[in-house]
Amino acid sequence: MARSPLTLSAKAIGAQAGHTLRTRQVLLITLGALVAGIGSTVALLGERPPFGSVRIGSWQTFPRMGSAEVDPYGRAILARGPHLPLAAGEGILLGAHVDDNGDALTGRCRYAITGSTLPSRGWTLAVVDRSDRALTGPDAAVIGDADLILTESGQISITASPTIMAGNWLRLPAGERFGLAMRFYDSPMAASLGQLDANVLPRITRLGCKT
Amino acid sequence: MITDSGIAMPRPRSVPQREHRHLGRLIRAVLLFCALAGIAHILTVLLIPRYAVLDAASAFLNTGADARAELIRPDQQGQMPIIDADAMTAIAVCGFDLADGPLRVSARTGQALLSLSLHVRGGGVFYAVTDRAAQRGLIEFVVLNRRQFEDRVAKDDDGDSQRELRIVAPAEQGIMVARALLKQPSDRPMAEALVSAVACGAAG
Repeated sequence: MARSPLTLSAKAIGAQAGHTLRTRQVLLITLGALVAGIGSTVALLGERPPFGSVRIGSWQTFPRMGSAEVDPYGRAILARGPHLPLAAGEGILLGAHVDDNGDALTGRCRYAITGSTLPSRGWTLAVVDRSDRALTGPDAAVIGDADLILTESGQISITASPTIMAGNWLRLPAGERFGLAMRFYDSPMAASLGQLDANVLPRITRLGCKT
Repeated sequence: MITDSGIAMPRPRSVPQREHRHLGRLIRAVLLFCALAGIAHILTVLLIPRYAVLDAASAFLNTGADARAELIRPDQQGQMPIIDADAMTAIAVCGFDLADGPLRVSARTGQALLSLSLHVRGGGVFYAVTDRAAQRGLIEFVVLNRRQFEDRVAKDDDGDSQRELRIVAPAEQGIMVARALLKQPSDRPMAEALVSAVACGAAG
């Protein structure tokens, strides 16, 4: 049976309407996907790379950040601001934002940082903010191996507190969340970070908090 | 379906048929969304270093222009212009562009622990050495691109290649970073003098 012109135009209109709808859908999906893709990049590129970390007790390190094998996420983080990561041959950076119980470090509490340190030609322990940036001005707090009085067994014993303490004292920013950055310079352990036991690094123990 | 009056009417679809069609559309939409979002994510991660202007190598590319490493000091607010700087170190930087020719880095060791590292534009360290590797109190190496390295090897007389340490850079532009560790805050002038005495000039 021959189809009338009306039949054809109705079909054409129907097809056109369907096509327009699909194009709009594809555009919406593309726009949403772009937002989601770029948004997920921004979310993943925080202060620390999402992958490649080594956890040793409370401490965390990213061995590839200071090497040519840094992954694309690490490279993108380095590119977002002037970072000068320690190269594998220069030293090791370990960061901590939680104590040994896994609770966030806060300037409302006092902490004991005790135990062994890695063999190295020198090390420093600094208080950093939540973004791993060293505190400056009156809040700046850093301690080096030459500043310390060691225990009889040759271990370190530091009290981190917002108020002054006797012995080895590391000043904390009162009431604020903070992190610790420990750097071991020219350490022979750089190549074996993945095999380190938590006992070879200082423990971070909460002593008490202001209510 | 065509009615008696000749007007085309869509053939009524059963409910399961319509649901099946909607489900197919939804699956296609989700797959397209995931694929495009994944591509956008990967592309942005890879492109950030390529077009970076805030990374250390870009920020300090023009420092050390007088063939000496330039000291990086805190700004007026006491803030170091380097995010992950250690307050117990003195840092001096020298930018290089191998398009201008190879770079020779030489440093005398001192009382403080001294390390030298090479950072490429866009992030990443491709070489580092400490004063432990110094010979007769001197650390020295030449940074080149692949073509310059091959030219130099071709022009070598016997034994020349053993006399200088050659580092092939993965990119034309980057920075050399000299770091000295302070044992005490009072060591700062000594450590700053040590890192700012590092020479980084044309290798010829």
